[in-house]
Amino acid sequence: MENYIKPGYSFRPYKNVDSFFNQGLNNFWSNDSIIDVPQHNVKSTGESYIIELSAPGLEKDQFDISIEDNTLTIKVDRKKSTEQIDMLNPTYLKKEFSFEKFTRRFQLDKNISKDNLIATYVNGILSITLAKKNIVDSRKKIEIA
Amino acid sequence: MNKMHFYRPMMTGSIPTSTQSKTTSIPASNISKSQKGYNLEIAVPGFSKEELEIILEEDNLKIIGKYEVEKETKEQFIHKGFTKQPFEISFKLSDTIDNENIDAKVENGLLRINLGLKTEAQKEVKNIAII
Repeated sequence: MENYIKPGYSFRPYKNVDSFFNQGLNNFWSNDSIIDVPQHNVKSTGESYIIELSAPGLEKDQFDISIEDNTLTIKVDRKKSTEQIDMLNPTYLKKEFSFEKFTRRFQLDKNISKDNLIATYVNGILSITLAKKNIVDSRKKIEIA
Repeated sequence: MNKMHFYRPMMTGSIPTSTQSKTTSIPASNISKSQKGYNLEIAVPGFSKEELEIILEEDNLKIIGKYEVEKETKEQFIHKGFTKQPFEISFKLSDTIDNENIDAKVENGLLRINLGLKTEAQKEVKNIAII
């Protein structure tokens, strides 16, 4: 059945719920903005979808990944202690990126299994693999009498 | 498409400044200053330590990201917000930086380069005679 689906056109396995609020206005003045919301890729393989998030400089345990209803939420809130802030206290002369606090949400399609989710964080890229459900052919052939 | 980050040269001579970049992909960078020196952070998501090269030639600090773009892949992109591309970025270092006191570390796609400052003894003092 999937052969009849054009990815990203007639069918969307996800919907990027908060992209406008996070990025819409920032992109307007692209040269002056700090990139604080990671960019993402969505890939499809035979058995799964892969969501990739480009978020360098974090630790694996700083990601909070959850699924509620059909929404996949990736949240990072890297709080620094007052002591750390005082100790480091750098003065930024130029700041183009910061991924210390962000939320990305993806609305998942019905054909995605919410039980088989694998997340990895390698070289600053978070990859979430979502298994596709076995789609039963729901087409019904109607005989012409 | 990947968002482009056009570098705007810094106007102050005492801080590291980016002078050139040969490829279309320019990684985002942060520059901060502390008492010990300058800290350069470059976002290199997807790059391993082996794929990165740092060359210091006189006052020119060059960072190269080596990567051969895969032509064929079994995966099909539904949305492409970023892509791993080879890059080259250079920073011109000021004469307040001690070239012998530079260290670099890459962790989770973030390259951190610490540039130590010269001590008072290392600074060359030039006396200019008044005619």
